[in-house]
Amino acid sequence: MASRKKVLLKVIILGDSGVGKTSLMNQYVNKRFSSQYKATIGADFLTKEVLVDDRMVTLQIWDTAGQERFQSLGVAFYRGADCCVLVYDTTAPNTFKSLESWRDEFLIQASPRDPDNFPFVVIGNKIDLENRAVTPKRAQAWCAAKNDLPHFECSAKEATKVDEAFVTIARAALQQEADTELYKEVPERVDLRRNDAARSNSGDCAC
Amino acid sequence: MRIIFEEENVLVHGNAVPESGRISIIEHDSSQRREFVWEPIAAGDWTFLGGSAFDTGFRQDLNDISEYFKPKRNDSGLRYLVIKLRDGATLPSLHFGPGGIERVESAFQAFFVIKEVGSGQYKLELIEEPKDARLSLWEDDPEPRIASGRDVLNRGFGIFSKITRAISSNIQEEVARSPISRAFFNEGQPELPLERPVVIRATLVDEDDFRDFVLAGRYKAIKEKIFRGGLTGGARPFAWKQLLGYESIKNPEEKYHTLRAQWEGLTAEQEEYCTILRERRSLIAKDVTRTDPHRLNAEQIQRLSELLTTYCIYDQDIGYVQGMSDIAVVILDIYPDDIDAFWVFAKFMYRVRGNFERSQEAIKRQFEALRRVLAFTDGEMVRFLDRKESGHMYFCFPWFLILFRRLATHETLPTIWDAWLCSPCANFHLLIAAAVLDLKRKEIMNEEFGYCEILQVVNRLSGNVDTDEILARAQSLLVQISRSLSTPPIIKQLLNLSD
Repeated sequence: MASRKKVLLKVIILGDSGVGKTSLMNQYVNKRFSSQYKATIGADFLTKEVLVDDRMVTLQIWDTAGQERFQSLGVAFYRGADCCVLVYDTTAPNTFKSLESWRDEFLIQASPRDPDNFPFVVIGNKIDLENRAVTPKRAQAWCAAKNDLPHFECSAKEATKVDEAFVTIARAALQQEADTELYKEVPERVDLRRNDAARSNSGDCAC
Repeated sequence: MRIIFEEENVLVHGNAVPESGRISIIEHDSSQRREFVWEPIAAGDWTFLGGSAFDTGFRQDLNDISEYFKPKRNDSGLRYLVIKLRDGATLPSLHFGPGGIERVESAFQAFFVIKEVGSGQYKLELIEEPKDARLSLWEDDPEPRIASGRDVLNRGFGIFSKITRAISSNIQEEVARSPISRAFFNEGQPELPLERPVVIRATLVDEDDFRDFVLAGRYKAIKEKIFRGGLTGGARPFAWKQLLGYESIKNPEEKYHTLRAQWEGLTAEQEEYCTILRERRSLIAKDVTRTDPHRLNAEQIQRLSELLTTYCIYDQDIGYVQGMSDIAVVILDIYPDDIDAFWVFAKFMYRVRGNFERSQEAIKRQFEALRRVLAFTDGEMVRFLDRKESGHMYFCFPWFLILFRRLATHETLPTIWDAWLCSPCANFHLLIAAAVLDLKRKEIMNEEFGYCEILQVVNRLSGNVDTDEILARAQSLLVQISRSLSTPPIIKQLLNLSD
């Protein structure tokens, strides 16, 4: 359990088209912003090594296409995720409303072991823009109702709060991974007991 | 007789007890008649050859199949298919394991044009036998026909009149006598050698060449020349119009203006009440500025937006889906005239619009088809991909969706589309995909790459490939497939390659 082996954490970024998923990923990993990213087709990912509470981990951050019809192919990318980042555009209320369905869709497709406690982190992007339309209060209320999801207001363009958000994401992912590891060890014990039970049963039924 | 397609573990629930069986599509040598067959498998595969398992079963002439219905997953996790016949009867519903339905659909593609006419409901139109090349040349892209909306399915599968009690014994003998066709579907599938024939790309076809050949009626010859070498920039505008069947559009100008007026004439209030159009326009607005951000000026972005919005009105089932702007921008580059650009785009979309349907079934069928083709051209690679849990081919998604748009640059891409439009096999894009994988094969396999790394290799290729090299490789695969005596019919059918 206390192994210090290098950990790979899989993070999936979801959200409507144009909210800035690619930009957030690139700002965090490459410390770069471009207003010229093409719309993502299919999926892509970047990796980054980070220190989380003294532990070196590799974040594998998956950027996906924002148009909902491409999600039927998303399953392959969702599997094995350790954290899911839900992104909306603070200037476009529709993209905030969509978070609910992105979250549901993810839970259905990825089917994590413990859906109620699967770590999501919510990011409101583009706070550098003037025309804000989703208030922090409204966003926080939604996050609170969803089992207190961490919420960050960021600007991928100006690198505002991006690192902070990803520290939380990495930590949540590491926690999730540790929990999953724990689960993986449980069956051994169960199997032993099953074998015992099977043995005693077969003894009973040997007639 | 030969077996064109087989799928095992197909359950039929028509009787009281579900029965497991095998479906196949067979072709009779003498009559060329093709049949769709389901027969039960009682115990183990080989009882089929022993001839003891034919208590029940059914067979149907492929020409009699008109539609199929594919409902959502049922409770047991199996998915089923209801096949409807021309006379209104339906075959018993067929229940499949994972991927089974997709495999049947891709097999059907060899014989039918499949059109989605409702939710989960597909109409099948028989592909006619190859016509005289001269007549069919500019006609392989007819105007979309309006599919009949009449509800023909769901009348239950109680009509068993079509089910024959037994499949005649002579068929069994025939199958027993043709071990080769069976072996293909089980083990020992034939594979091509990895040494590819060398293909050197031919010279470009210019405007004068093209016109001369067309005037002389030498359509097949000019298509072949373009396939081998591509078009010059000057020849392309006229040639693509011809190749895509632009001339079949009556009153393109008037029609275009009517379509355009339909969205331009909307008041702000009207648009407020039209959520679908409003949402589509908002998606378009987001995408046009980032389609080719380093290159397009404001006027070009405006044209792109107008073209896509007009298309939303023209094709309301698809509307706007991401990826379409990537295609449209290529066409806008070639046609300075908005009307030309719009109709060439619409004609182009007609060929690829399945890729943009909500169900994504067309894309999934292409993954399956590519997998099959690759299993023949490079079985080792398919086995490698399977071992790396990548045999689903998902990493090819952008290639199929926008026909290699992002693999090439805006200068080099049109040559790929030239070849695709003029290829002797309608699904040449599968061979282009196989060629790209061929190019990266060493890197992927020597490095023991897994799914993530393969995806990165594929994504990093963006704009970095030599399109002539890729096309030469794809042509070389085509030569190899066409010449090989061991090429299974299914491969030719998947590629839509005539003999």
